Amino acid sequence: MKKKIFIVVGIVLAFFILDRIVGYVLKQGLEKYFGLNQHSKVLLVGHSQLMLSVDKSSFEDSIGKSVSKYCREGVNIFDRYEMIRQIMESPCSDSLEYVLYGVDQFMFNNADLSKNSYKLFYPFMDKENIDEYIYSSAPLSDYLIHKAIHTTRYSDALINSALRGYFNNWNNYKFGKTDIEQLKKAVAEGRQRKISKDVSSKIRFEESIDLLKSHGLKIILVGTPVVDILNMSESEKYQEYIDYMNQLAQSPDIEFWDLNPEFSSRYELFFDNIHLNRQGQTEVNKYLAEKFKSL
Amino acid sequence: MVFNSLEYAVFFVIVFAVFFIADYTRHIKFRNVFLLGASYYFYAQFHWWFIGLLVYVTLINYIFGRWIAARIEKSQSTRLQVTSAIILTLAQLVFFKYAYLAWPSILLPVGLSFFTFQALTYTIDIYRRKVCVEKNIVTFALFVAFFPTLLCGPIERARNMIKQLNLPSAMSWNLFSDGLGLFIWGLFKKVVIADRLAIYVNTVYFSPENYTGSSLALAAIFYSFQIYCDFSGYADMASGTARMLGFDIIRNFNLPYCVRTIKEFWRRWNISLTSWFTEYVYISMGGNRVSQARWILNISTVFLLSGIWHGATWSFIVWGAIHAVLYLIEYFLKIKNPNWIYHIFTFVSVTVAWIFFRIENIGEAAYVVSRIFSDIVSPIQWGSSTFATVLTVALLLIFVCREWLTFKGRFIRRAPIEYVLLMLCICLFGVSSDQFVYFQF
Repeated sequence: MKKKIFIVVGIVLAFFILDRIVGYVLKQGLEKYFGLNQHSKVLLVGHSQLMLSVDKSSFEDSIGKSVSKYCREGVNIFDRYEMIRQIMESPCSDSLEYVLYGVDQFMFNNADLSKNSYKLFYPFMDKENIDEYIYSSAPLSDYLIHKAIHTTRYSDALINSALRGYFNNWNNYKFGKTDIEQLKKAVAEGRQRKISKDVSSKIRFEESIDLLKSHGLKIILVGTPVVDILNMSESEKYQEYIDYMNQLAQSPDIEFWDLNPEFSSRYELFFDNIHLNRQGQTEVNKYLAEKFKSL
Repeated sequence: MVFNSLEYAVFFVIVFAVFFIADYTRHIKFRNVFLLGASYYFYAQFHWWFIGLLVYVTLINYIFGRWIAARIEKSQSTRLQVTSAIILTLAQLVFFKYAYLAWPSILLPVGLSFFTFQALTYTIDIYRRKVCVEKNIVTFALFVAFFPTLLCGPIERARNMIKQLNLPSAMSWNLFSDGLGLFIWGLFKKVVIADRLAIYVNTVYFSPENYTGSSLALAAIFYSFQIYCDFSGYADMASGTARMLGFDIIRNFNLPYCVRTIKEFWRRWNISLTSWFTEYVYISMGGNRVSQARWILNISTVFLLSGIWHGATWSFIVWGAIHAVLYLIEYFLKIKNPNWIYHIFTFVSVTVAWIFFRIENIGEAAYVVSRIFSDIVSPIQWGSSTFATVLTVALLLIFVCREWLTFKGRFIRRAPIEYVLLMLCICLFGVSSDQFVYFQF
């Protein structure tokens, strides 16, 4: 009987030890992938639009400065605020000089993005701000399980990112072209994506800007390109968004680089109506690098 | 509340604690009442009115069971009684299974097919003098509603289960650890293998016309393992739960894809249902002690009924028919010492049959089959995430190797480190889903 108890205790201990080891290894890979454990000069923060607009490796080579690309699919304004806090509270943020923050006219549509986006941050829930954020977002049972067992924090996408961090593979691109005729039809029928403004998102966005400013960083709001048909479908609201960004850029620490005039009519660069394809990424990368070098 | 949920873990801990105390202090009656209450509670978590069907099936078979036993004692005929019991019991099953053809919104109570067949084993076995009547209604009701087997089987026999319920359980540390190990293995099969495979299968079968032949072939192979791991995973969790409580229930799967012939396959797949049809339909029709033509009819009937048991669509009937044809061809060809080529043929045949099982539209299933064979040399489309699909393939290959080693008699007992690795895989690679394929039957 004693032997059996020892076996059980041994199994449980072995499980938790291996769980911590695997969790640690994956977290290290993830931090490498997002550049969270390196002293970078430039930080990219955004969701999938910025992720697919910039190739980290070639951007780094072009501007001659180290880059951390902290872009996650489906993250909303609140998530991005926590991402910024996470980096600013890291000892590696002392070297940061520039932040490129991806913006677009749909950024305040809180309903459009994933309601479960907090799950992306499970691997980092040992950090205080992330822990608080997940605690307030997740069901208690989920929170407790993920807190206790580290390997439950990782989805396939996160495992993939962690492994790619170890292999120094930061490629993010898609092939294919958007179907403009479908978009025209959708706009004619009023089925296209619409701009809306969630006030709490706007407030949180401004808090993000203030947080970055408080660290003495140069902030570049990168207006990621969207197919112009979509921009023109709600021209007044689109112009409101442009005016708002320009108003923010009145501050000496902030610039607004709107990529739409240059790219939004070049449909061959788009994978879908709001994301660039590989060719689009190459062109935008080059454009951004040139603009950055002229800072 | 399904086995792979936190709610079930809490439920089981409470049930086990009370069960253990009641059993240890030899309060068997209280133990059974409590277990019955727990089983009804478990079932009511789906829809409270499902309990009504459980009670109906229980009462019909309890009353007719006692009636048949009483008539046997007086040497009176019992054919009318057993026939009535079967008709009344199956009536509600037939209604719910096939009523959706007229009323598509009607809900099929989960587990109905399983506990209905399980209850019938009691009544028919009394008629056949294979089991004594159970006068204690709580014990009988518990046999019908025993929560580990309630939703998806295995379909137990009254002659095996009822005597266990009337005795103190055989609970021991060894049984408990065996049961827990079996549960973990079943959970691994369900959340790491079956549910991961389902992601790719569901994507491809949602619009098969958009996929190449090789992708459809991959989806077909995936589904073969998805349904196996889903169903056998559930069976393992059910057996594991029962074993932790000290009960021994029928093993439902025995490495069916490792064998080379269709005949052997059916000896190892859904053993409880196959043996149910064998014992209560095939043998009742004369089994193999009849003319060859009649035997062919008997075999075909069993396979077709097996298809119909799953649902009223033509695709299930086609699935049953394919297996009947394969079984008969194998018999008449007198396949002896089948080699690995025949093994592959058997696996491919079973996989093709599963396509009809999965895709309920016959035309679409036939299209998928023809596209696989006409377009097999084509690029594989890996789905929305190549990484996830490739990871799933890797996990599947590891699982297949493990099953093969077990079949060959190597590493039958799992070492403690394997359980640690299984639990890690469940935590790292598990996909959460509260759906089991066989819930729909």
